Amino acid sequence: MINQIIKREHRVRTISVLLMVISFLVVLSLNKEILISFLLASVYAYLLGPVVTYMERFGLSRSFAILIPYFVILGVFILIITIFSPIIVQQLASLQTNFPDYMDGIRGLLARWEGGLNKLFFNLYTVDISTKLEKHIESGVAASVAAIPSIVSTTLTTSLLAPILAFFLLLDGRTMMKKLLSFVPNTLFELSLNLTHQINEQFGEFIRAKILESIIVGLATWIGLYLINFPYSIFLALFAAVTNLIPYVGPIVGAVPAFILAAINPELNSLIVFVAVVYLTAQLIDIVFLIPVVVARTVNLHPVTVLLAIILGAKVMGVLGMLIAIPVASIIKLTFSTLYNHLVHFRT
Amino acid sequence: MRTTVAVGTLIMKNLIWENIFKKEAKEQSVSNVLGKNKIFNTLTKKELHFVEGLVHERHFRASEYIFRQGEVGFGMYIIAKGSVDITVLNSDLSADGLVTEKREILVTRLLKGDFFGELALIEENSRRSASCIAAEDTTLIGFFKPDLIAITQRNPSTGTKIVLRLAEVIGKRLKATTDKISQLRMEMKVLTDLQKSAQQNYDDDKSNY
Repeated sequence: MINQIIKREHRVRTISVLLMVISFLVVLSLNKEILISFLLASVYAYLLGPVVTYMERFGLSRSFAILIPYFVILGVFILIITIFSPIIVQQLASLQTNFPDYMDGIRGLLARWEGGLNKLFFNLYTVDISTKLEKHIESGVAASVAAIPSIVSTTLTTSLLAPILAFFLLLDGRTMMKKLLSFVPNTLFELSLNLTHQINEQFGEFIRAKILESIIVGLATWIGLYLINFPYSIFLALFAAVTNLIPYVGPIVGAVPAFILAAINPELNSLIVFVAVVYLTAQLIDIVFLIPVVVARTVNLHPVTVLLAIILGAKVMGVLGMLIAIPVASIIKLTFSTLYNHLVHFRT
Repeated sequence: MRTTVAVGTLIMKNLIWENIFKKEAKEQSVSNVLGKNKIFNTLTKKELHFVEGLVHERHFRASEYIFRQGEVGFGMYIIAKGSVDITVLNSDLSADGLVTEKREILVTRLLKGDFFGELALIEENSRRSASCIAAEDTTLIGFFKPDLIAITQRNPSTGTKIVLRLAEVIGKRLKATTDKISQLRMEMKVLTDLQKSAQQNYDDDKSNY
């Protein structure tokens, strides 16, 4: 009788916890803005977590220990904006002025390629990339312009919501997790506690390592492009830093805009070799120093698994899916290996 | 209307006071249990309050397993209410040395204030050396490796106090075990000597006949 009560309680608790987790994930997935805000908030929380813990050691309350880095970051952010805003404004204005020229440049480049290909086929088969591609580019630009209001609203919502969510994640994250764990049945409690701890540690290490890696790659790209006097160095470096978060595919995508710019602009044609050197140097720094020292120890996944995870992530959630594919894959691997060890290995 | 409002206010007040008292009583109990425990009794009130926010209160029904022998453990438990039976699996061997049956043997019963499983706080992939079963409806306070790590990171002085006490407890247990082994060896030696002299006497008697 008592065993039946225990078993029933175990079932009820398991279902309750699963329902709580699933409903949380459903709420997140229902609204893209909330999902992005939550993901960004988690990134902020993982980045600031060690700083907050360090501040707590000086006897500060947790809320103060969170507020201090918040204000410091805000100050640094304002300082960066103040220093870089003239350059950013200048580069944006130049982009606006030169945009029609770049479009002409792209057309010219396509026409040159077409000519070359037609010559190659002895004009037997007429290659017509420009008309087809131009339509795509035009529709792409039109779609981008139409998407601007929604992008602006998403950016505004997430940039306001994410820091607030991050504050509460840092302040009450442990308490919330403790509350959730209190519903876990007794037989699974120690296992769940250890699993959440390990996932938390691995996720934190991975995010911190990837952000550090991206910042260094971005900085190296910016310095290189700045030294060769290449236009829009800040935007190109920022783009390279963000795309670098995606393994294998990211670095290639990150370099594309610079190469297009160099190819379509006659003044920059001569710089194409230097652009290649800059991006290759940034990637060499990443591959030789950053990946082995910083990133490799955080996730223990086979390269094939990484590639499969990225493809699957892209298929399911697009760019966002590519960004979160690796941590999600490593969590799944960790969960399965821990459960397997608990259920099979240690029950013998 | 006024009466309804008055009754409503009274109920609200009662509820508020009731909740506060309940919360205080609960906090006191966890804090008290921790404060009386050997591992936490060197902590100040403030430190105890900090630790209290990290530990886990778990409730077990009579005859419910807390953990089983051989499972991986991640921490220790302090008995806040009730009692716990510690059992080990004993294998019955056949004449040719094969395991025929495994029986659970009661080693001891732990009572309110006792604690167990502290080795799992330190050891990597520590396997539980015995099973623990709630002898009656029992409330335990669980303190696990992630909690100890959080304390040492957020408040190193509190963490050091806990780790030192933990080392002391484990050291004492090790000394007790070493003493027991020495005592058993002595007893074994006495028994071997007795057996040898008995054999000698037997052989002497046999040769005399």
